[in-house]
Amino acid sequence: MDSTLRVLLVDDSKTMRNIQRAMFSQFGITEIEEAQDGQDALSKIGAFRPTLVLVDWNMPVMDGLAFVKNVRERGMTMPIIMVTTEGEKTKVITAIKAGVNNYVIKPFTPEVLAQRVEETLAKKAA
Amino acid sequence: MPQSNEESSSSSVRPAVATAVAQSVCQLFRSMMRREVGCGVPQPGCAKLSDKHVRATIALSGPLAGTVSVLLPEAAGVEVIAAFAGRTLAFGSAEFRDAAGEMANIVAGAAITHIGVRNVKLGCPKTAFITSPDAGASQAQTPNNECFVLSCVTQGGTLLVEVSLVGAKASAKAA
Repeated sequence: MDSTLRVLLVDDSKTMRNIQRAMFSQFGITEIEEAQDGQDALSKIGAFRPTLVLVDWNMPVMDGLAFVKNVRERGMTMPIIMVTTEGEKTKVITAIKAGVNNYVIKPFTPEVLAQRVEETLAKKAA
Repeated sequence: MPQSNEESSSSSVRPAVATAVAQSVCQLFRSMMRREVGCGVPQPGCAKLSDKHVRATIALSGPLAGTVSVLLPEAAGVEVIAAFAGRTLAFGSAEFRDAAGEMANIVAGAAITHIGVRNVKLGCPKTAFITSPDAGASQAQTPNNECFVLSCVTQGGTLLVEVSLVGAKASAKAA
């Protein structure tokens, strides 16, 4: 994994952000910013300029789907991975249509999360 | 010792829901905690713990309405949350409750996926640190709710998962 990645983790659970942060740290990625909901993420995205975003779906204030739509409406093209408990097929399709590049259903193993990140970055680079 | 508060009336535990919840607990433990867990036979009634514990609840609405709660007594809770969060957290602290809430969220979400019911909405986690025996009495038990409890045994002790389905008894009677 490219250690120069700038990763924005968006989840209302600090525990989940810590779990994801630990995985990226194992790959030597240190440029990591956190946000607790979609609105918080939007307020940080301009200054942080992430090259990858991981976002939960169900969050207070602004959910992950609204965040993704907002980011794409602003013309931002960085890869976004939805990491959520929402496993229903129609919801996966809805998220993809909104601009999500990949989808990880909780619970996940660190290997699966790392694999989805690699896949997403490879597709974006192709 | 964790136990369920058995109801006097016979209650039809929804087997599909119970199986799905047990599957989701096993899936969570094996994937994110790398450990085994054994879930017992679902017991009718709401969960009641005599010791202090943390209760994390997710509300479900839509075609399947009710709540899914994870109850963590101290010894088992500290061990399980440490495995989940990657470090030991003080029992009952905000961080501990956050982790418990995320666990409940994952159990509920995975169970919904296993059941295959569409358009069920998951609420945000609500957590409570219960320090007196009676304070934890579940509000999930109302006349029309069907409530059952799974005891899940893992290294470190036993945690409980309580499921309360709104209107389940009325639906079962009508069927």
